[in-house]
Amino acid sequence: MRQRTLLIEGLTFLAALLLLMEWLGPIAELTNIGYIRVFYIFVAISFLLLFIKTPWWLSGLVKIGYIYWFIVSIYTEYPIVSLDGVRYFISELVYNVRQLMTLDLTQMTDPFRTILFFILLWMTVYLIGYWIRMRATLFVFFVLTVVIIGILDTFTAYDGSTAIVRVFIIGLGVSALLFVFKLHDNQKQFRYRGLIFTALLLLFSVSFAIFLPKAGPIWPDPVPYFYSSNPESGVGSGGSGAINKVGYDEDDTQLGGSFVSDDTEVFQVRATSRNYYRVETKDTYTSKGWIQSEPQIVYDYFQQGQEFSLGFPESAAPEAEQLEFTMQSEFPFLFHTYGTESVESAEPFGLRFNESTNRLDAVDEDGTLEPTEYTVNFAEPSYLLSELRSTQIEDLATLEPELNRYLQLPDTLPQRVRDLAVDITADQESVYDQAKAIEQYFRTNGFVYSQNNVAVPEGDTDYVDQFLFDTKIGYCDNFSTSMVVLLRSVGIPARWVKGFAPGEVIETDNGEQVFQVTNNNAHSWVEAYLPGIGWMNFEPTIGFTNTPDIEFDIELAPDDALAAEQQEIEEQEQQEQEVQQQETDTASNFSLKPVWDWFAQMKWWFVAAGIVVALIAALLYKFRLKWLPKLLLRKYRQKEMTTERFEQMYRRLLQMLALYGLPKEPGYTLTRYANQIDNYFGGDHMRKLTSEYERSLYGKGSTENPEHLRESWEYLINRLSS
Amino acid sequence: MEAKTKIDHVLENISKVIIGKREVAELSVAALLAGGHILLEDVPGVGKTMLVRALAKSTGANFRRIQFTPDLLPSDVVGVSIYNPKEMAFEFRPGPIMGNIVLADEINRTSPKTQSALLEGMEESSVTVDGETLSIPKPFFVMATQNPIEHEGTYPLPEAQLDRFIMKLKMGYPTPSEEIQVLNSLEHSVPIEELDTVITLEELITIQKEVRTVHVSEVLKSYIVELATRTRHDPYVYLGASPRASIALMRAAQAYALMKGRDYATPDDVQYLAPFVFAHRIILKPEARYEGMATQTILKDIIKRTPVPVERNVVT
Repeated sequence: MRQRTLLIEGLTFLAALLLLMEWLGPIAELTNIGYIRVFYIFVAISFLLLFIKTPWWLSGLVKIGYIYWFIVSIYTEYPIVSLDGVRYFISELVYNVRQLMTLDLTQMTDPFRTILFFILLWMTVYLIGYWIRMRATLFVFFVLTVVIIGILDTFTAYDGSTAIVRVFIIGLGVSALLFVFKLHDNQKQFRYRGLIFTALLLLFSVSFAIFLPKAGPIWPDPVPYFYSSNPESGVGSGGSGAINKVGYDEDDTQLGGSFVSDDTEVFQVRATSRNYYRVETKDTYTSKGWIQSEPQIVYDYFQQGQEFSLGFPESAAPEAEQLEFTMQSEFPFLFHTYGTESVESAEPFGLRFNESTNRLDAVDEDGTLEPTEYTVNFAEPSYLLSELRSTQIEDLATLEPELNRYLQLPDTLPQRVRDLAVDITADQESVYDQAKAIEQYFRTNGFVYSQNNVAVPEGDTDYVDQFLFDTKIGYCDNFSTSMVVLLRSVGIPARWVKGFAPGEVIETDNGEQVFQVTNNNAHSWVEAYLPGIGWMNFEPTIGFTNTPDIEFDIELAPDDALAAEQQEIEEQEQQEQEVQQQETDTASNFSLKPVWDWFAQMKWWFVAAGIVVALIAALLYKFRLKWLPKLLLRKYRQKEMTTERFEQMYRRLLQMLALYGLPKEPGYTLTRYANQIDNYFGGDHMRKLTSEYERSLYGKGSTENPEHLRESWEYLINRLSS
Repeated sequence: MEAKTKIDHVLENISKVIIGKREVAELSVAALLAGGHILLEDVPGVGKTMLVRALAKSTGANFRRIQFTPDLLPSDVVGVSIYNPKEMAFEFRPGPIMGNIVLADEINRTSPKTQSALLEGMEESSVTVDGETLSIPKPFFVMATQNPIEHEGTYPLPEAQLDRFIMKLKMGYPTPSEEIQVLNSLEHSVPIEELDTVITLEELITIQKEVRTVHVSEVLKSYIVELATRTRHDPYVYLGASPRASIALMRAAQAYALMKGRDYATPDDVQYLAPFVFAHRIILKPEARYEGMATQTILKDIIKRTPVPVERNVVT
């Protein structure tokens, strides 16, 4: 018996030790604590001392000795057993206590901080010991551990995905252990059966959970979400208030709505210059979003290393550059950039280029692959300003028919959009200048970049029309889609491009930079077709720049709009990093968007439902005297009366009476209480019941069937609820 | 309940000579049934002797009386061996303690030596004279009386000896109407002499044995122990109730339950008896006395604050 108790207690202490280590691990990781093992050992020793019930003075001495040993041997050169060591230790204490007294906390020395940390651990172990010994429960500690790991995992760099599993196994195990132990304090057999059952259950549930397939996270990273849920953001003023998460998504049929940012890394890329990473283009605008028309799909297949062209002008650069991609998320396509010439990878796959969507897939015989590392060789296309300036507006009328799909516009497009396009481009003499004028239009006419308060077009509202004339607030999708529509309105073929903005530099190495691209960098922009030149990319979104390589081979007048713009672009480029950090860009959508949309839309319903449920619960609780007795009446009416059931009913009655406002004084005997109750209600029902209950409780066990007392019980219960 | 009927007869019998004082009579009978002894503390002339005599007469018990005086010797209590020249041997002359029901009057008037001779006999149910141990016939019931301690010329009983009395009772004065009834009943006759024996000694012994079969549930035991424990930890108490006190309380509760016709004791029994069983065993701290706290008040307070166990599984 004694040994078993010891075993259980030992196991509990061990579990507490393991749980506490789960705290220490991340703390050490996040705060750069060195010598973490020393702290582990300290905690282990503390638990051991507690377990073997060392007298307080001895365990205190051991712990202080340990702390002293650590401080002196780590922070000084003194031998452990030396006067100098002791003197050092004491002077540290004296000095720092003085700092503490004057609240001069910044002046505290490192050794003293270490001592404080030791003391914190000491106290924690003591508290846990109290939980185990006095309360015989570790549940609070277990819950706290889960919470702290959840918080650390969410808000810091610490990855608690395995820790949480360990904590659950240990915590549930030890809770069950203690519970079973308490439950059957006098029934050894039961206890053992309970333990075996607990262990089996735990084993089963944990292994079952491990083998189950795991869904990805449904919610966005909560930190940015919390930021975005401050009162200024959130529900859009003009739309239904859908909140999306930023990221790359193939579905662009329904644009609009606010975004929360998500800094999950998508890939890293090593490069010598900033580049936009192109994924695909879309050609058909539906007045709500984008779809791809499906003319005959034409695939071009290439080998790795084989040179190909994406249909942009040639580069003037002397040699090709490289982009070395390292993917974090897996996509069935390859990111590429302007002027891509070839792709290489250690992984075996071929390339498939979809001419209609401009998508570059990695394929083998079985279909598409998701490559993890590859290098893109590219030479940025070059344009001559003189040639651009000489693009003739008249030539637009005689373009090849295959460009027609890039001129598509929905019939429902309001006329004022077309009129606006004509207005903007009225004074321009070349196609390039027209396109440039439309690109610049957004920078000066009161447009605001924002991911919040972005409307969703409802009913017949056109997405572009709403943005251009009503809201003027939006992110890249609004700007790029609008520009494409405006270009098409004046007959310039244009397509909508999706991909990622350059991202942030996280490492600079020998002229090369490593960019980290996250979901926040998902982006969309515009490509326009200039007669006689070919495709060229434009960036209408405020705060973003992506200028093609234009050689200024003609002189610019000082007041030339282009010159001013060039200067502006340079300034913008300097600010760009900041902008990118502050305002995360939003590309279309992200995976699991419908679920999140639904949650976001239903948010207030959830809140309302929660309040209603809480209110009902509160009311039910407040008026429980009205319904609980009736419930009890029902519950017991059907049941056969036995002594045990009678005792149960009697205790219920006591509870109900207390609820009614007639609680039994702790020092009152039941007989005295029964007199009090009968005086209150009249009759002698309570006395009858009490006399039987007392006989049953204090006596040798009654043989009489208490069925005849049912009436008295029901009478009293009824009196309570009436 | 046969035992109850018999006891009721006894009580009825007693009430013929002791007007009022039902409670003291009941408690005395309870103490007798529990096999304990009683300490009566009161002024002379309130009917102590009459109570004992009535009890003795009702049960047909051999009644003895010892009047304690300062010069009383232990041998006057337990008896003495006297040399019988005829038989050429010592012959034991039993003292007054060798009776069934013994009234030890004004026990605190005599020297501690003599007191302890009586108390030893009470505890052991036997006396030792000249190295020879003689057991006292059963049933053996001592009712000791003592004057309130403040009276002059008294030797207060030490705590260890007080502990041997199962209960300490007070008679108190009768109410005026009761007193008139007393006068009436004594006007023409002496009721005590007309009292009949209602049960035999053998029946009394049987009932005493029956007391021990009265059920005391686990929860009730824990309640008794809790009460005793609380007296030990009370801030006003210097010496709390001993485990012997717990035993006495349980035994008294058993007897009382039987008198009430139950075969199990209840918290009501315990609550009712606790002040009588505990009060004389508890010594208050001086500061409690300065503050005017009485033992009874403190006990009542403890009883009021100690939760009565009303469920089966409350093991503290």
